[in-house]
Formats: sequence, C-alpha cells, structure tokens
Amino acid sequence: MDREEFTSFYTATFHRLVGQLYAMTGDQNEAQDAVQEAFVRGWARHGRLDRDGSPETWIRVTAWRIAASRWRRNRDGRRLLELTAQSESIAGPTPDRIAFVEALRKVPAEQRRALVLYHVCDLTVEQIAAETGVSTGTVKARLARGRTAVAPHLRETGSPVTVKAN
Amino acid sequence: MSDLTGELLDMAADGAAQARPLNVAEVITAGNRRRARTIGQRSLGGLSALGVGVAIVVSGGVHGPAANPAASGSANVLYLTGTRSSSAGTLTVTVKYRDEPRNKIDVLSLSYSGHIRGAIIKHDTLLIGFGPSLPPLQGSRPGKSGSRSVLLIGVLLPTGRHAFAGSLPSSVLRLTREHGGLSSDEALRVTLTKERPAKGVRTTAGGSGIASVGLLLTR
Repeated sequence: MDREEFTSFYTATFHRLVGQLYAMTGDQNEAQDAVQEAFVRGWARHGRLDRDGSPETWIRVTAWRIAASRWRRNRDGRRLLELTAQSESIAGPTPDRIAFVEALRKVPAEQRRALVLYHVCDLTVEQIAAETGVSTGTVKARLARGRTAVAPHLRETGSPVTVKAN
Repeated sequence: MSDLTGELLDMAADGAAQARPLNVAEVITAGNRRRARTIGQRSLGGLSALGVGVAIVVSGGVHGPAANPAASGSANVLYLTGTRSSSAGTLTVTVKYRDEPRNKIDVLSLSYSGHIRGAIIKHDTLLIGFGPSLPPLQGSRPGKSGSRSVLLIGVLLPTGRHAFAGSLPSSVLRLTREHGGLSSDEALRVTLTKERPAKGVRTTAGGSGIASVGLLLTR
C-alpha cells in the first residue's frame, strides 16, 4: 500500500472505524485514540498491510487491542466501568439512548465486541470467531449473554434476533 | 432490524460523526518514526542471537580502507572520519568516542551522510556493525572466535532525491552500552546497501553494498 492508497484508505475508513470502536468501548475519546494509533501502526507496516487480508479488519483488531491493553494497564474491569461511566461521552439525547449506552458499558468487553461485530460490522459468527480468535461456540455464547444483558434496555419490537451463519 | 441492531448502529453513527481524524501527513510521519524505532529495537534485540559463540565477520575486503585514519581530539574524546566512494555512491561516517577505563570505548555519536547515484528508495539500508576487527582494516588485530558483535540496521532517511544524512539515535547508543559496550580496538563498519537483510539470516556489516566505511576505534 503506497502513500496515495493509504491516504484514500484512511479517509474512507477512519470515521467508520471510530464509530465501531465507540460502540465497542463506550468511550468516544478512547475509540478515537485507539483507531488513530492503529493507523499509525498500519502505516509503519504499510508494505504488509494489504497483504494480510483486509486492511480495515487489521486496523479494527489493532485498535481493539490498543484499547484493551490500555484498560488492562490502567485499571481493572470494575474500575474501567466506573471511569468510563464518568468520562465525557456522546450519549444520545434521549433517555432511552442514555440507558442503552449505560447498559452496554456494563456488558463485559468481549461480549460487547461480539455484539458490535455482529450487529454493526455485519460479520457472521464464523468471521467474528476468526477476528477474535475464539471458537464459534464462544462467539454464540457471547452474543447470547450480551443480548440478555442489554435486553431490558431495548424497546420491544416483537422481531426476534436471529443468528446468521455461513 | 432488531432494536439492538438499530441502537448499536445509531451509536456507531454518533461515534463516527464525532470522529476528528489527524491529518494523514501527521499519521504517516508518526508511522515512519515508529517504523524506524521498531527497526532499531529489533536490531538490538538480535544481539543475543548474534552474541556469544558467534563471530560476526566485519569484513568485506573490497571495500576496506587502505589505512585507518588517525583519530583526532583531546581529553579522551576522539573523532574518526572515513569516506568511501564507488560508482554507485558515496558514504561518509564520523564517529565520536571516548576512551574509557578497562579497555572500553564509549561511542558518543555516530553520524553519516552521502549520496546515491540512483534515487533513494525505501529499501535502502545502512548496516552499522561494531565488532572484532579483521584483516581488511590495516593494523587491526585478527578477529577472535567467540567474540561478541553488534549489528544495527537502519532505514535510510533521505534529505533529497539522491542525498541522505543522519545519525544514530542516542537511545540506540545507550542500549549498545547496556549490552556490554565496546572494547577499544574494535572496528566499526558502516555499509550502505540496497538489500535489507531478511529475518533470521545472519548478516554482517561488511560484504557487498554501495559503499562501506571501516574505522578502527583506536585509543
């Protein structure tokens, strides 16, 4: 990937990836920092970036690892929840949205990641398993637990959530 | 679409809308800096692999200087400069070092400059090796089997289409010290090459290249 290609790639994907990371982390600043750092690392290895499959997947995985590494370094899981709850965020204007974001923050990080990859990135269970390095059974369990955790904060529509698979 | 999907998509859209990316030039500059740092660390990390029991040959007779230039300086701080030219380019290296007790040498700085006849490309590399000196360097002692050598691999940072200049970061020199430092009468060889060493391949700072400067760090 040369400079021109990288510039196009950066411009086309930065916002989308920050949005995905924000949904995964629940923290806008953390998401932006992690994605930005992932792009820096991406350019540092730009010769191999497009040879390793999807560059966008590589950036997302790297950004997630950066964010997760910061959490581990700075705080344990419970403190993370407390601190992210205190941090400035862009929670939506409606009470429903605020309640949903708060509920999502209480979902364990890997379950939240699976939910976002499935519902936002539109990946299949198999693709999520490949990206997160776990079995499809684990992915299904994370999705089910994550949905259960946020279900009370969702408006009822009567449309059941089904799991897509290849 | 379930409510969960809708909520998550809305949340992601909010996050995307709030994103404020750095200018891509800043990202590229930071990436280049990170890459140079990583290569330096990887080179130093290879010390143990190059270490005890491995005699890295700092040689390349074709490029060896006819005679080692005399060191100049005072108060134990010495300077050595060497220049080598070939049809493909020129390389000048200046090393500043200090004579330390117990037969040790402390390299204080190492700078290089030169030009390449063709345009500088991203794979142009400097191999900087310290180690037991060998015959191509006149007046040096023969290399000792089992001696430790240090090999640093740096990416060439161009100052123009054909010219380059730079110096070894002080952090790298400090790490070299932390890995045991250098003994007096060790040789320094800097080779400008277009071939980046492959991972896992034993490499020396001698051998073929565009130009190679060898200096004996005498007391």
